[in-house]
Amino acid sequence: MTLSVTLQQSMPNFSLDIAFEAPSGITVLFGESGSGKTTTINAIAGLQSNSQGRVTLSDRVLFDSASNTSLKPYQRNIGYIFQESRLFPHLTVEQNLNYAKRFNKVDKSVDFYQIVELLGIKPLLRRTPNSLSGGEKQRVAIGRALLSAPDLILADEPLAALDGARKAELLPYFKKLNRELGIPMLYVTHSPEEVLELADHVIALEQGRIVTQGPAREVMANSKVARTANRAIKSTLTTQLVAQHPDGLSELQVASETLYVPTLDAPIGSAVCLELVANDLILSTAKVAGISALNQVSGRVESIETTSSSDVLINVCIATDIVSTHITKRSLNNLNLKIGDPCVLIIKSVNICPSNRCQG
Amino acid sequence: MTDWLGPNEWAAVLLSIKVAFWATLLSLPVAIGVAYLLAKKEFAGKQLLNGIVHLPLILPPVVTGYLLLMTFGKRTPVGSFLAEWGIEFAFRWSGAALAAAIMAFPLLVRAIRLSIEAIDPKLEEAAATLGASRRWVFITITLPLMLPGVIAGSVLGFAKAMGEFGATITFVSNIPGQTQTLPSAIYAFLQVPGGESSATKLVIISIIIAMSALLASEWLSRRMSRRLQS
Repeated sequence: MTLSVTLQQSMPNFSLDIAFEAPSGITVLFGESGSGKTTTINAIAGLQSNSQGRVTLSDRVLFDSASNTSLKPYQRNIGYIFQESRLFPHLTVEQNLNYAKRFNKVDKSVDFYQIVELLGIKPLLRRTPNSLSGGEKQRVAIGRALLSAPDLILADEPLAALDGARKAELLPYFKKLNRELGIPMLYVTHSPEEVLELADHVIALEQGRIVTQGPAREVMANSKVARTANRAIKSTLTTQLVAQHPDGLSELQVASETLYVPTLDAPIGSAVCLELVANDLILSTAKVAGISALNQVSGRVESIETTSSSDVLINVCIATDIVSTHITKRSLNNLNLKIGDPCVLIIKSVNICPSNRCQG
Repeated sequence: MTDWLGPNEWAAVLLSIKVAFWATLLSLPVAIGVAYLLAKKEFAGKQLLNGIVHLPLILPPVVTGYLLLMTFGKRTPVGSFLAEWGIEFAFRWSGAALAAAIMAFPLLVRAIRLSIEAIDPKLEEAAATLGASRRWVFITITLPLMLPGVIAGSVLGFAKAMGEFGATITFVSNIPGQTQTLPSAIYAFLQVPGGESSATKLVIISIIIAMSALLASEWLSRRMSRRLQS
């Protein structure tokens, strides 16, 4: 079963022009928001109008603008797992799972109990969607899509609305489903972790164009893709609010280091978590004088990861937290840093944003 | 109960319930169709349709009644055509039901349209990806999800039909036992000396029927919304 897609679409502020083939297995469409991922899979599902091009699944033509062919979404036999599970609130979990049953003209022997077992949703069958947690809802939504016996599964950032623990809990299901049921899947995400965990084949999108495609490791090592991916790498630093200054800054402390950030609305003495984006941080071997950045925080190199042919990710240990920063291999050589070496992270105050993920 | 109410009064109560029941039943399917059109579709003349739907709400009821009489009266083309098929409206209880149906129609459409607009179209999209054609999406998703609006609208329409006076009396007159509904009976009793006590009884009955209908609909739609909302 091979999905073959050629699509062009122009919108006022965005144009899409892509062509790719997805072999069986899990193909991941990877890119930042606004890169055209959702537009692409909606066009494949038939939920997007006015695109140009051709979509075929094996020898079945789903869409062909040249011959004015466009199957309706219900005729395409494609399962869609949405970001917000979209379970039907007036039906029970079991009725949601069986929803597609009445429209399946051909019996394709999807085993209800196998899927319910696989997803661990047997205890939920009698409940209503509103009584489920986010992770449970999403598992039911996966089951519902699978039970429509689709030729292809589309998944649009199915984990984006979940917290870290739920994500980790759900991720293996996708892999397992693909292995055990053999239904090809096109999976959309902006998370590099999900790409590395799931993808057999990756298509990297940027601003409506394909940057590169191929096996996951190869694509993610491409420096252009890695840069996109690393934009998403963030670390958390736990600090304490010690003073408010009249010039619009709050003073924070971590170990013996001081940081200044735009005024925070929190009581003195409270814990504050800062979210630091890897690409915004500068690494230095010692404190620097004559620089506009207010924050220079000392730490120790914990580990070094190669992320592409040109770049590395340096994980720096500050007090009890690990903060990642993204630098080029050339900089690493110039600084001559090794694991365990002391170093200084330089952070512009304006780049710090407080995170609500604080654990206490 | 039959001792407390005279035969004419009793007949008026039963007739009103019958008229309101049929009026609601007649109005409902059309109202669902029109509400769906207004909520979901874009077409030329949408504002015009919207205006026509609301006309009975803003026109003096007497005018609506007179228009009905001019359309369905025995000597009009439509009236005589329908009479050949054995359907007569003017001065019949069925005419009272027709008048009440038309007067209740805008209230039904408004309530149902609001409930359709509150349905997340993403759910209908999801149903389509699961193999449901547009007709099935409507039957299995849209219709059940708009049920609270349908119930609220029906009760409102029923209450309106029970109380309809102006269009009814103009179209079908005030014939005891045949077209005399609760409000026309109250009006008639107030026209004769000593009729106040009968009128008062009917007023009390009106209030009881209206209140219980309202409470029942509140209870039903709250029960449904609780299930649908998170």
